Amino acid sequence: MALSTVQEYIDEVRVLMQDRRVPYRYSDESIVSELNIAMLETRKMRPDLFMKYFRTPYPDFKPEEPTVEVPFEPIYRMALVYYICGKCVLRDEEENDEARAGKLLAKHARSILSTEG
Amino acid sequence: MATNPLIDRVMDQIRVKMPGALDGVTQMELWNTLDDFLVRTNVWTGETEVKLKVGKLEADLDSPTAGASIWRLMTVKNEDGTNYPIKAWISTPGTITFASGVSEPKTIVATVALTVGDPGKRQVYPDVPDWIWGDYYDVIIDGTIGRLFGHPAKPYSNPQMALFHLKQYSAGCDQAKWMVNRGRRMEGQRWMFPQSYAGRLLRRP
Repeated sequence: MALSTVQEYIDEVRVLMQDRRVPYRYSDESIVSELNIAMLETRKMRPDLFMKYFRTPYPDFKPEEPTVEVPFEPIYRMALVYYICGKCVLRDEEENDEARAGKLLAKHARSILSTEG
Repeated sequence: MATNPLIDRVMDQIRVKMPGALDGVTQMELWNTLDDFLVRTNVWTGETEVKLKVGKLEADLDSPTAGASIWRLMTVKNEDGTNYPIKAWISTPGTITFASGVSEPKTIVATVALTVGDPGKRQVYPDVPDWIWGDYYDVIIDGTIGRLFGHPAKPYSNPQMALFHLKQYSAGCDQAKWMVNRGRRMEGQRWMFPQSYAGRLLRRP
């Protein structure tokens, strides 16, 4: 299934960010860090997506473990990708485009809170 | 997949009507709906033996069905089916109390209304008899999706639809209670005590 592991999130973010050539503009560390933050931000909006973590700590993904599974509801996985891309654009010093970052972060919220994509 | 195909059909109906709802959340609300439905209607009853001991006013009241909780005491009878003349009530869950004790050990039969018990960590669907899923299929669906529509800030949040389905559910509960109280007879008895004089518990739902 798509977007099952940490590496698949990294790859998908690089596709959307057009960052597929080495050396990458966005490091694995920065993308995985944003993945961890995306989980927390999503938890705030949709606690039901994190029912399995109500009595256990949230997962903490590491760039050196790219094959680790990201246990997240399949139909909402793309929302995490939008969030990571939005944050990447937001802190990009060379191509800082706040409007685009805002759109991506809003798309994350819309994907999570409505039936729109 | 559930062991009862009707549960799968209930889940399929809800999945179609609630885009974006997670199965785990739907199962949680399904449990809440069944608990509320069984508590309101008393449709699920069972008989359990109560062993009375000399000098004790209390006795253990065990659930007659595994996975079910006793909610209400309906009747208490002797083993031969005649009414047990001593007043009895449930003081704390799992214990039945009598107004007076017995002079020799005795076994009586209590009919109790049941509701869903703790589903445990691994169990997904509550343990209720298959006929409840079949007979009250629409009521269970209305109750569950009514509760789901009422969730705040979800893709499927819809207060108007919540109100509509919870009204349907409430009407379904009233009808189920009415039917059970009359032994599921068509029309039941034709005469009725004037409702303006009936107490709250006697009034028609």
